[in-house]
Amino acid sequence: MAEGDSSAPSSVVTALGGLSESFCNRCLMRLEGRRDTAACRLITPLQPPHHDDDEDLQLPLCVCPDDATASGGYCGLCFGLMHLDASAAFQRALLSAIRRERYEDVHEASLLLTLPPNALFRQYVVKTFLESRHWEARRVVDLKEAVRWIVETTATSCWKGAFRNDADEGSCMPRDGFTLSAGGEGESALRVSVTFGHSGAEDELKDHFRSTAVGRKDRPSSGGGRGRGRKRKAVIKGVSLATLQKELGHRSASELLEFLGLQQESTDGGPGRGVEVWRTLLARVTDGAELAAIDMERDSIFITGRYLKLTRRLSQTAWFVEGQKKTASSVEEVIGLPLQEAFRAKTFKFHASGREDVDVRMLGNGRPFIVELLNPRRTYPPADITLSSLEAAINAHQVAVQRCGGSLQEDDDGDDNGDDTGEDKDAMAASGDATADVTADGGPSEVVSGLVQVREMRRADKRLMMHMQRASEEKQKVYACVVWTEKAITPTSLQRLRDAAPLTVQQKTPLRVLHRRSAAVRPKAIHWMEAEYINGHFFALRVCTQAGTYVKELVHGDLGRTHPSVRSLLDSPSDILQLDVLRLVDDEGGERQPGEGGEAALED
Amino acid sequence: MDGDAPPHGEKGRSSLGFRQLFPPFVQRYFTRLYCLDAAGCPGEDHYVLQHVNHLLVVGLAPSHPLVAAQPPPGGGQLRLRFTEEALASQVSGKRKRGSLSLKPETTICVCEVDSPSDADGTRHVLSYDIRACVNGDLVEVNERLVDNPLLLWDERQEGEGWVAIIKASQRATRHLVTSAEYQRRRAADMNE
Ligand SMILES: [Zn+2]
Ligand SMILES: [Zn+2]
Repeated sequence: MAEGDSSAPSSVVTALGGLSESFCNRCLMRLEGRRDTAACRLITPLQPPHHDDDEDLQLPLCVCPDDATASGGYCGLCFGLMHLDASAAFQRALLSAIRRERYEDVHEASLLLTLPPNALFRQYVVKTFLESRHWEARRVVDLKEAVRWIVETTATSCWKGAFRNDADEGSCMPRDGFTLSAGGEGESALRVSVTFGHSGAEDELKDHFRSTAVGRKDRPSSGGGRGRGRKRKAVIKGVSLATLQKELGHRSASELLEFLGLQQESTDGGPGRGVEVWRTLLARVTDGAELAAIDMERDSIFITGRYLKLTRRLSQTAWFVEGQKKTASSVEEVIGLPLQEAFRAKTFKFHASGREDVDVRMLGNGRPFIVELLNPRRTYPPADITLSSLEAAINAHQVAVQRCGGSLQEDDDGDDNGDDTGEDKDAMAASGDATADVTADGGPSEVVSGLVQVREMRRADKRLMMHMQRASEEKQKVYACVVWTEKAITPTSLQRLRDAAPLTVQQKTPLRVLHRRSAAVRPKAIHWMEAEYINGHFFALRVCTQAGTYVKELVHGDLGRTHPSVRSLLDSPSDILQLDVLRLVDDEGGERQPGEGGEAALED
Repeated sequence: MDGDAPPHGEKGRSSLGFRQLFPPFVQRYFTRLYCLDAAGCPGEDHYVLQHVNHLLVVGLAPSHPLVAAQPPPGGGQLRLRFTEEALASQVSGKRKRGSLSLKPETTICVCEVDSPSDADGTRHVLSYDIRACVNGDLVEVNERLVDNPLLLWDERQEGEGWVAIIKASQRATRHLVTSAEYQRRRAADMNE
């Protein structure tokens, strides 16, 4: 090949000149634009799985029979990655990851592949060089595409072999048609991330790039860096795939060398001298690429339902202080743990449409929730585990509750407010079989069954969760509570409360949550209030509020920070006992008046 | 009849019995502490209610000379204003500005009251600084006091006459005295 020859070279080896010695045969084929591997087929068949402790990935040097220049280190373009299929260590690592996670119901999986950044850098360099030699770089098969193909092929065959001769073969064996591919979007899609690194990546990139702009100041760009022997480093912010593309993608060979601070020694010294600088950039490497990680994750599964909480001694969510769990149990654990187990999920997140305090019961039609099961190893539990059998198990669950009540009251034994809801009586009766126990954290607690009831459990998707979170803002809630007043009341004086509604109260973030919630004044609509006289200092209050109203503060006024309040309306210090959520008025329910009928929870 | 009974009076028997079982929420949630002679001003005692979440609510103790005296008739001679720094650090709308750093002697609000005329007819203005009492960050001031300073005299247990809510470390309250100590010290003062 002669300089200045404008006709395209007939083979990539010609175009590369002496550079081809630095590359393996498979990479030469990539550069040539060939997508088959017939000329470079495997000489090492897939190995049966070993159980070696040594999980380090030792990539073989080039194993192609016709690759005569394999000595002197790994290929300067792929660092051995093009020969992954011959690596028993890589197969072992894959098998071990597959067996460890033991995914069930796998039909397909998508591969997320990460290559060493210096390999990507070198790909830009070799393409730019080839362009300068009139070789069409767009013919080149991308390194990532080629490695992806090899990893996909290897992983698919590993997966099929992973559970051969295994007792659990039936449940874990992938079904026919399993593929690992770039696609794999779907409800139960499995994502396999394979990450490769290279020991020299950092040094090599640091050698060519500076991550700060300081260099610009040190060396003015106007001619300062052009002096012979002075190496001006290119300025680049971080080194990522996107950065490489942006900084290197559209540069010609001389522009690239100038950007990198490497001047071609001479443009008229013959082709051999011009190649030297490129040979340095693309030299073979002593170490091969390393397998940094194999991670697998599957999309979440969502289960929705509604729950009732029939106790004043159980919080909705587990309470942690400095990483230590302070609560024996919680609604989220009672519901989430059996689901986590059934789907073999890594963990779960419990999302509810609002929340009630630990000492507040959730009655009536229950509160909607979604359990998000993260990274489930199983998408379809065995036939004997159904959502209704899980529901029954949750409803019969033995719940550890605090022996003493929360902040609102000390003792609620035998308290069932009589007129709340007929439908919950059976459940309350079930709470009779209390047995004393002490929890792991030493706090007094007892174990009671049936305190959390779930219903209408079914599978859902992520969109429903978003919808639920939005909808909870628009809902109304009906509460029942017992109120104590310092001043004596009469049935007539209570009329003031009835007449006051509907009204809007200005509610500052309650003092009791002000340390963790942002401070704000929120207007909250009180749709109606019903007060029932009990005696001179007690009455039963039912109140329908806009979602997000703090009812305890609505009653006692929170040092005047919720205004008006029951306290200010009655002009008497007031306190709240025994708060229950009677009903969440769902989207379909408009504003309802008490005694309008259909409000079963409010009738005797 | 019952309605006029003080919270712990003889007539309020039903409420007293209930209150023994079920103390008011200020007692349920707060530890009551006192700062005696705030900023070195003799007798200017403040109360500091420490919430279980460690937020502090500061106000004037019953022994403070301003509230120990009868409130001025009509309240017209009473002027209360918060310092500009305290008001500026309030949360306004959704925008939260940097909160004000407080020292124990930082004045949060100033209360001026006209004294009764002397024999020669001259009138004096008594001015009291209501202070932070602790090192901490100001969370909120009770702006209702500006229009209704008589709330300061509200001695009821769940009184609305507090002045400021402060976020402070637990150590910040070390120099304050307990409710029992306060009772003992101020009772002793009265007997002298
Ligand atoms: Zn090869
Ligand atoms: Zn290669």
